Amino acid sequence: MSRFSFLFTVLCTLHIACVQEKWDRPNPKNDRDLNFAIYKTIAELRSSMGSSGYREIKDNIIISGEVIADDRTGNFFRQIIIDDGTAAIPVLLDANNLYNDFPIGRKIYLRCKGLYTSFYYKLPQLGYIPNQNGLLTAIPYHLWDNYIVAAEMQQAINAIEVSIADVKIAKPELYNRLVRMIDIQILDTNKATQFALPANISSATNIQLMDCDSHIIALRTSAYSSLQALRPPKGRGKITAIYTVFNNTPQLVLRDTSEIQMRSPRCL
Amino acid sequence: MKKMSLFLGLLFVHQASIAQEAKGTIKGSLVSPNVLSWSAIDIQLYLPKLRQIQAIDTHGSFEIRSLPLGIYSIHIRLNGSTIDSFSVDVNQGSIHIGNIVINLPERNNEATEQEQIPSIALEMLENNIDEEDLMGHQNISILLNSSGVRDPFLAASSFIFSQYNLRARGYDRTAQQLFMNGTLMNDLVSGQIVWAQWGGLNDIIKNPSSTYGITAHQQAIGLVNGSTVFTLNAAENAPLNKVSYSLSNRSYENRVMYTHHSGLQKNGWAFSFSGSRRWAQEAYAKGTSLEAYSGLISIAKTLNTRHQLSLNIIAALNERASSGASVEEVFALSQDHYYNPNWGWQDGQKRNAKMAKRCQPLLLIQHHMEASPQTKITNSFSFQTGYNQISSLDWYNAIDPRPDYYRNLPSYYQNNSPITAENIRQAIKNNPEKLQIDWDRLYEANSNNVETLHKLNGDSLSARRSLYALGADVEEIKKISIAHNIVHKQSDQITWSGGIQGIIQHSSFFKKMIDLLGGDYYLNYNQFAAQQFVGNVQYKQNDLETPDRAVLKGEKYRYHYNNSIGKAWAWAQIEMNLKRVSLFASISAGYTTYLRNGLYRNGLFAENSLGKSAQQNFLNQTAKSGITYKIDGRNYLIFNGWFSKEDPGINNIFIAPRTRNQTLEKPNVQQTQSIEAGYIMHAPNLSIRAIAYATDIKNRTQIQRFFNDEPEYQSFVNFVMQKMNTRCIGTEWAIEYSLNPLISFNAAASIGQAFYTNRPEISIYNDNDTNTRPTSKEVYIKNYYLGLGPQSAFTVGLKYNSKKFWYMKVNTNYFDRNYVSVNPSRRSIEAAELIDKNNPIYRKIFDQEKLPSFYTLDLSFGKSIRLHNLWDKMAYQTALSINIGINNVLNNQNIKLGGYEQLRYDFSNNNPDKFPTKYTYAMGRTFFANISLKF
Repeated sequence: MSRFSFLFTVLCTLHIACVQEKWDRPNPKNDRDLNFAIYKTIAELRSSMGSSGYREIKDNIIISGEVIADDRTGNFFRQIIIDDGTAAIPVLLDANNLYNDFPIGRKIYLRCKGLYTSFYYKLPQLGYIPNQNGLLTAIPYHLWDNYIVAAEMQQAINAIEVSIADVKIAKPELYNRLVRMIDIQILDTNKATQFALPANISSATNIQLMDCDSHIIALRTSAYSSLQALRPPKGRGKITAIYTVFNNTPQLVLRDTSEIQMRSPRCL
Repeated sequence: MKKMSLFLGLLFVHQASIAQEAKGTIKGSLVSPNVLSWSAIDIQLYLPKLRQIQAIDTHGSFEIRSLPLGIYSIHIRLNGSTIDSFSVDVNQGSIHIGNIVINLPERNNEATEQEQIPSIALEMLENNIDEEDLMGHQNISILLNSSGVRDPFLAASSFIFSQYNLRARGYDRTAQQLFMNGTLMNDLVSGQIVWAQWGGLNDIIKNPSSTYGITAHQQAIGLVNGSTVFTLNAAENAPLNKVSYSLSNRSYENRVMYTHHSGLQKNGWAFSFSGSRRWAQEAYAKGTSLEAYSGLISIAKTLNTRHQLSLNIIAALNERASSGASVEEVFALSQDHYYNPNWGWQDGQKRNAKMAKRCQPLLLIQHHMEASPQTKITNSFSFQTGYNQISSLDWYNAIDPRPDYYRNLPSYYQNNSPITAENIRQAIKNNPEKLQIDWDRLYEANSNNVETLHKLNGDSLSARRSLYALGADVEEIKKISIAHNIVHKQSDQITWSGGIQGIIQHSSFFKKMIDLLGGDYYLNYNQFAAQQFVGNVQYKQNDLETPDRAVLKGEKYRYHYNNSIGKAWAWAQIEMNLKRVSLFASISAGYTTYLRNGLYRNGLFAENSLGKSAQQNFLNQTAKSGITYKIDGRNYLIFNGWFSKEDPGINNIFIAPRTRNQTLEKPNVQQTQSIEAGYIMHAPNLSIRAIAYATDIKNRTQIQRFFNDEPEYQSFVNFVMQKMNTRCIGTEWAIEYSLNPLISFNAAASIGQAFYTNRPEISIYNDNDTNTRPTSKEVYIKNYYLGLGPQSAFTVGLKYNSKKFWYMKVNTNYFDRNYVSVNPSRRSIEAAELIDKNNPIYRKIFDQEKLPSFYTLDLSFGKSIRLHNLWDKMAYQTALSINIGINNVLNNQNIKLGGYEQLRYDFSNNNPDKFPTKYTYAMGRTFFANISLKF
């Protein structure tokens, strides 16, 4: 019997030693590209939106685009912006940290039927059922699968070179697109000690940018972004940002501080 | 360890040199009018002086050989517990003592039943004790009390009430002590008894000597709910081999156990071994699995008639996938009352994020000494080391991965957009996997997230930074205990007992990286501090000593600290057994010291997190006394009282031990007063118990810790409730009556009220808030019930005992007055500000929910077959036992077993529904089938 006990003990010990949890890594989904037969460009979608109010998309429209802005720094909130080379549009999604699933550079497809288009203070956007105030809501997390298919990572989209003079009067064709400006500086560096005032003072702050010809455009930063407390540069240089509009006032929104590089001497 | 082995070796060598002495023999027979054959009864003779077990044959005859001359007390043990005793003076070669008449109860066939049912009870305890939800069960493993008498109430409480979450007398899990071979087994950090430490060893760790409520015990003074005392001693086990296999659909699917007892050999050695494996691919709730191995080795050496040594090593490795409580909305969406949010599919398998793993081997060494025929001394030593851990998902700047996250559920959208809510509802119904963890998504998010980390020291790292990771909260312990116990019988009327015990427990707590889920590293940052203090590079560091550290698999992160606890106490007791009256009085005094030693310098609490805290010292005192008036030999009246002052335990002293050394300004010593009185009757065919009790616990402190995922908090919160008074009052009733030798009837009831008796103070300390002095407020919870399971429980049963050694038992049970645990901060002025008292919302905020009452039906069947009777070549003790138990036969899956209000509350809108109550449901029909072979 003692032999039996010994054998039992050894078998148990061996089995214990073999219990090692190993989970395989699943195949990433980011190597796939889906070929849908019917789709529209974002520019075509934009043209079907009219110029005000919201509209439900009732047709079986599919668009695709590359994410050009996400919420990694918190300067964009509950939205990503996609660009297919013809135009760009924000897609409202109801979660924080959308960059987990839809980081800049990722191609996505959108099945638009059942979604809504609208204008947020004249800025076009794509989202879900409007609320009582007529503003679009964000697509709830559990419904994302119904509308969005994330595909492969792509080469970053190049920013469109513009000057403040080109865009200081609102240019709808550039709304939501990534633009780059050179020879830009912050108008009042003494006043702009942070990208944004703290949230208890204001939810967002405008800093005036100026070129060497004294053209001015606003750089708007959220108090809840990780950029808020950082100090803006004092020199002159280039900026890459998303071109947006608030009513008729154009404004730039930074994706990250690495995209504002102003180390040259100021021009004025 | 080497020194220990040497010490034992020397003792054994010493024993070998003991000279041969004159020997005698005792012969005799047991006789009982109720017993037709002794073969199916687990009865033995036990000689405490020699610590020797003697079996009897099928006719009840016995012969005890090779006894050194002297006076022997011989105990008759039924199912391991003493039911009678007699003395024999062995002064010549062979003594024939004739027939010993014993009055066995009619239920002597219960040998098989008792063997099995506690297994079920113990498995349940073990598998639920770590649950965060309310599935836990009170420790009522007591079937036989310390005097060896079966108590019908405790039987009902152990086997029936505890399955449905009834907490004995409304006490929490810290109200009872458990001793294993003399040393205290309760975890000194939590105060609780961790049954999983010896789970699966039911065939060897059984038949404790226990007290329930306020009674005397010669091994321990215990706590207000008594004590459970296990004594493992290979010399006390009769030679036996036992193999068993069990099939169940509860916490495991399969169990195999093997136990071997050598019995006490002629050379004084005895050896026992027990091992088991329990496993489940999927237990009752979806996504729950179990893999558990247990082993026990017990060695005893009788040195001479006065000294005996025993050594026990217990190890149990247990890995269990957990389930959890949830809200009604999710139960409805999933159409499953056993919905489990902890699992999701990966590689075609269900992977559970909450894996509880425990391995805390235990060494027990005990020395028994009979200093004189009247004085017995035991010296005990125990050492325990190991870990327990529970894993969970971690995430940093990432979408909440919990599939039942409230902001993603339809109810979150219901008010503003019912259409959206309905669309979500439909989407979930069409694809129920949305309510499970999406592991693939977590891996994908991590693999997409390539980041370059610029460290403060100038280095940089470019790799996949995990947004999601699987980490485990780990506790590693080392515990050493020594104890000395003495029992002195001054006369037939007076017995003294007492002892001293000292324990040092060192626990190390940290978070350990289990799996980076496809990423390369995780950063040791506090994301909530990073969000709250944007731009501050210090605050977000979990450890300023190693800032910006990339955490790899297997490494510690988040928090790391040690708790050191020292506890020592002495106790004494006198028992007086007079003709009409029995009395006892016990006192104890002890000292407890607590210390926290932080190993991380937390960024938010840089000055108060690293290094040792101030020592926290407490003096504890206990006194209890009782009187039993013997109306006659069968009817007793009892009256017992208890008074104690106890420290609140380390978990209720350090406010946020994961982040800092801060303690409560004035840790309160809680005061417990309890009385019980009643009537007990033990007659051959009738047992009755009727007890009333009342217990006040004053000045309690309770710190509850939870993760508050409201956007404005996003932090671990320490919810401190102080100056809390509670009262538990109630009655316990039981009757067991044998209608005839075949049929017996039993009924039991526990009717209690456990409630708050004052308005305590609460203070909420945020782990991520540098403000260490939050304001406290009074909460209006006076007369609210404690949420601890049903407070009324009833059972009625019938049992048929066949003369052919099988039995069948049926019980119907009724439970009521089960209240959800309230959120005290919801019972405050702020919770209903500006709401009129006549507004129904006001009542909704303040009323306490009572869960629906419920009935259940339980069946059990057992059969014992003496194979020797069928095939005489087999040893006469060879027996096959079959047991089947079915609980909740009617498969009622709508029984709400428990519930608790979440400790967060929507103060902005005074909306009690924003964070709804979480519930757990009792399992539907479950079964347990066991076959075992003794040989």
